[in-house]
Amino acid sequence: MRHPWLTGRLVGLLALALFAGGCATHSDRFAPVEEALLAGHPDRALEAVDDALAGRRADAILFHLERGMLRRMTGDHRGSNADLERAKGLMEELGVTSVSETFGSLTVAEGVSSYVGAPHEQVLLHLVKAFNYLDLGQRDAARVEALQVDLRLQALAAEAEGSVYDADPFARYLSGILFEALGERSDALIAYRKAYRAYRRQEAAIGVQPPASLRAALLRLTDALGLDDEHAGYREAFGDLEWRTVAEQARRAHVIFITGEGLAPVKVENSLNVQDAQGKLHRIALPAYRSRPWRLTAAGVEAGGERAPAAVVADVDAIARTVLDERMGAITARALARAVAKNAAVDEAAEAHPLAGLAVNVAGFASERADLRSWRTLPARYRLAWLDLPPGTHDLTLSFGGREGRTLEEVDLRAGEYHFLIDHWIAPGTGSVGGMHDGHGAERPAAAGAR
Amino acid sequence: MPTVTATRITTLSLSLLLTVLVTVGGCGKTVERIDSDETRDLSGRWNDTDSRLVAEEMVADALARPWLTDHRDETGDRPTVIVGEVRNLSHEHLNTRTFINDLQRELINSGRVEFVASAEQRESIREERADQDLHASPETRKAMGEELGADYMLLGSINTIIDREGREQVRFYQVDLEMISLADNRKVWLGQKKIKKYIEGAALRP
Repeated sequence: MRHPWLTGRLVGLLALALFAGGCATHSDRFAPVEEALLAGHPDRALEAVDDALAGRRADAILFHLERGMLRRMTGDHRGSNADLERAKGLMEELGVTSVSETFGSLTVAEGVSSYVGAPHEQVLLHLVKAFNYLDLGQRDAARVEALQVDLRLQALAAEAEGSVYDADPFARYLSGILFEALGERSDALIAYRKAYRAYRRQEAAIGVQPPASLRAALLRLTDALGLDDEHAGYREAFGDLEWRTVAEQARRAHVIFITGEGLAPVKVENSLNVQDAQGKLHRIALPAYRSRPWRLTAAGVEAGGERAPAAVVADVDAIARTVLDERMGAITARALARAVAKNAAVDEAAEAHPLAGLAVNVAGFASERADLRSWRTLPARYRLAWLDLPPGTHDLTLSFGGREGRTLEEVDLRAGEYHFLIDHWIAPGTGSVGGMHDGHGAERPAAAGAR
Repeated sequence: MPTVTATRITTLSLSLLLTVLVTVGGCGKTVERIDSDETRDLSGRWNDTDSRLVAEEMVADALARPWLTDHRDETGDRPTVIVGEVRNLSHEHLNTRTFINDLQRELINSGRVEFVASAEQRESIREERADQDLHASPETRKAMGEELGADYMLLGSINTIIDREGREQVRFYQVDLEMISLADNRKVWLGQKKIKKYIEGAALRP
């Protein structure tokens, strides 16, 4: 007695097993990169990212984003910027709707489209570039990134109508600090205002409050620019927050410590696999974010008995989840469209020959994978501390979670000068790999428990 | 019946997709040499042509203004100029060094001003002179303390305003240059040049 239905099912499952074995996901390919990074070897991670992503046309932007971040971690700031600039150029080029890729994403799989970066990744690219320029001492070039991020944020506000992430408060805040460091108080105040409003607007959804240093900056500049009503409004809103006038501020040196914390969440696949009464296999695969566990309880910078805690200024993890949640409707609609298209293709192939139908079904089933691509070497959060010090030579101690840290010895600070320290703490044991290997004086490990 | 139509469309579309992918994948890179004076705008950003044309026009303006003749009348000599910083305050990582070089070339080739080396160049020249003190013959040795001091410094900035709506954008560049007397900080010449570009991006790609 023949059982073509049963035979077809068996062959289908066998073919599926064979095919699936050859379909490595983005997570599989990226595992060696993450392993090297967590072992504290960004240089090896950089080699591994070449094996994972190089030559994959649809992943070109992601390749340069990951390389850019890893090269920064190795201290190669110029190389990092070259990769990030390439990613930026490709985003412009590939951000335009592609006929073939759109069709591919509706019929084959989500991952056939060129990865152009999530909205927050497109913004953070500019910030990481600005960090590199600050480390290279090129503040005008960092300012260019602040202007470019303004354009990006204007576009984001227009594109993301109704989205929680319609602005990036940290990008605005950092732009404000850059403008203020360059003596452009008016532009700085505009950026600070936009940052404050965005923090307040996103506070409930993202969970990050306007940091005290931003609130102090608003009081300082509204006072300096004679905006009395606005200043009074902030004083009322901020209560007894301590702040210095511009004149008092000018007599001190300013240490701005920014650190990444942990790693951005990774996408995992949630799939629904079913077999219908005709033996056909159907699959819907959707992405979801899974957070990485490494977090700091606190961080800060200390010198000469004065300490500034590093407040969370950006929760990349929360933003990524929010953006994906908002896009799930469209992603699910495309997944359903693919299921319908693939089912129709199976029926047509089966009309010609039952085995052809089976082959098309298996191929369609196996190719249905969620798009798990994201910029994984970004931190999960950014923290920022602003410490004003008397001019002179200071040992600056950066602390991560109260146990780990580093001290930059004998840093000369002049009145009115802004000194940027940018780092990235990844995980306990891994510590920080911020690429702060040059230009910041001698380093020695901080005493255990230094805070 | 609708199912059959749908499946045919699907098959046809999949074939089209493959054709497009093969076609796009088969495109090769071509290189063509063009004249360095030829204008070809690709991205709409600041380019070599902008740098050269702005330098030519601004220097022509600077040389036509009274500060030059005033200086000659006062001293009887051609003024000596040094190019200081031209700050990039624009939205682009544009190469101000090529613009400064274009300015220097135009000023020197005019034959109406003297030009001295930049601070960076002077350091290496002084190192060479120090080296000559030890190693060069007395007849060929160049003495320290004989440098020509500049009378004026040329400073400037490049600013942009970008207005964008969807695929369209207008990029407005403003280059400001100032000639400042090193003796008394007088601004003897202010020059300004504006460039406006309209750029329309592609709606679709293959």
